[in-house]
Amino acid sequence: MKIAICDDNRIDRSIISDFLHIYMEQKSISADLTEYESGVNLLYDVEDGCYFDIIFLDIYMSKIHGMDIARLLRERGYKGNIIFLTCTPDYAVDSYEVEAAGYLLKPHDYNKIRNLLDRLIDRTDVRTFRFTVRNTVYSIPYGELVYAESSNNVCILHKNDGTSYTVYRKLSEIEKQLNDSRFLRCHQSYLVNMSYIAKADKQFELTTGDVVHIRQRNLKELRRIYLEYSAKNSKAASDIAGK
Amino acid sequence: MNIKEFYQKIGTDHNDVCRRLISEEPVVKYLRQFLNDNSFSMLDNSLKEHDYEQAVHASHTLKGLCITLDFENISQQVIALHSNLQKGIYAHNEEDFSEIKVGYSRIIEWIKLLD
Repeated sequence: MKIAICDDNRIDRSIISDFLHIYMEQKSISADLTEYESGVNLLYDVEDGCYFDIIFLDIYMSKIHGMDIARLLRERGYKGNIIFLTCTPDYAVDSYEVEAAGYLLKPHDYNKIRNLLDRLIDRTDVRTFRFTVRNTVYSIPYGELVYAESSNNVCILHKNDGTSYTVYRKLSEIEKQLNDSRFLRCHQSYLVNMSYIAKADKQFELTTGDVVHIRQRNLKELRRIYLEYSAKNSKAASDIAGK
Repeated sequence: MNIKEFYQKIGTDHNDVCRRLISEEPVVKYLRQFLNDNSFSMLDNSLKEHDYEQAVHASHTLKGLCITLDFENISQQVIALHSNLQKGIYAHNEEDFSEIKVGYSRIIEWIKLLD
């Protein structure tokens, strides 16, 4: 899990960073924390492709206002969680406009952050698939793995950014390791992340443009599993939006 | 001086801040960091130079730190000063600030005495 803390005051950054280290340790979640003294640098990094699951953002910063940073992040397509840190309730309404996940009023309090994180972590994808290619260990968040295909004695893992990795393992082993209901073994040679299915016909067309085969003799059953998954996730999404 | 004695001098109980910030150890760490924080000097300079935009920012930062670190002896004065500056009320600010200055100097002196 990647987290950014953007605050122009060192003590505030230090407090939030300490809170997060303790929380992540208690929950056994691996997290990378990046601190920013300036919102502009955070914005540049996000524009350059840095992704953060959660951004803690001070509102009243010198040079550029935290709310403006949040708006710019959203305009640039940032879809992660933004949590505002401030000692004034004045911007609480504005925070809805940028779909903030939280608005924490000072004084800093570990219990407040813990309660908020408990709620967020539940709906944030923190599981990652770890594998080794030529002595290099890779870790892909489940949400970024689009599909895996077997080809001869290897498997190719396809990520949502177009990159792929060749691993010397059986598809059944990968399926077992993933052990997650979003992944469907739809064919002897394919394991697909159902979140990326755009169209279910005689084969699955993915949002990435790829096509994944479906075992034809189980076509009806596999499509039913996909439709159930799709319905369940649409409901979960609307529940979150309604909160 | 231990943390309990420090907060007794400030005029408050240490238990609340230590609960909020997890324990005594990190509170001492943040108090020591406060020795190097420049929000007070920035506020001092900006008021002297009548740079009110900077003063609003510095008083806001100082206000946040006072609330978080439970500096009861100056919190209310800093909150009032920030509120006035934000509203564009500049009269009496220097007098109000001199009161804050006395309280702030004591805090710095007591932090230096922490075990």
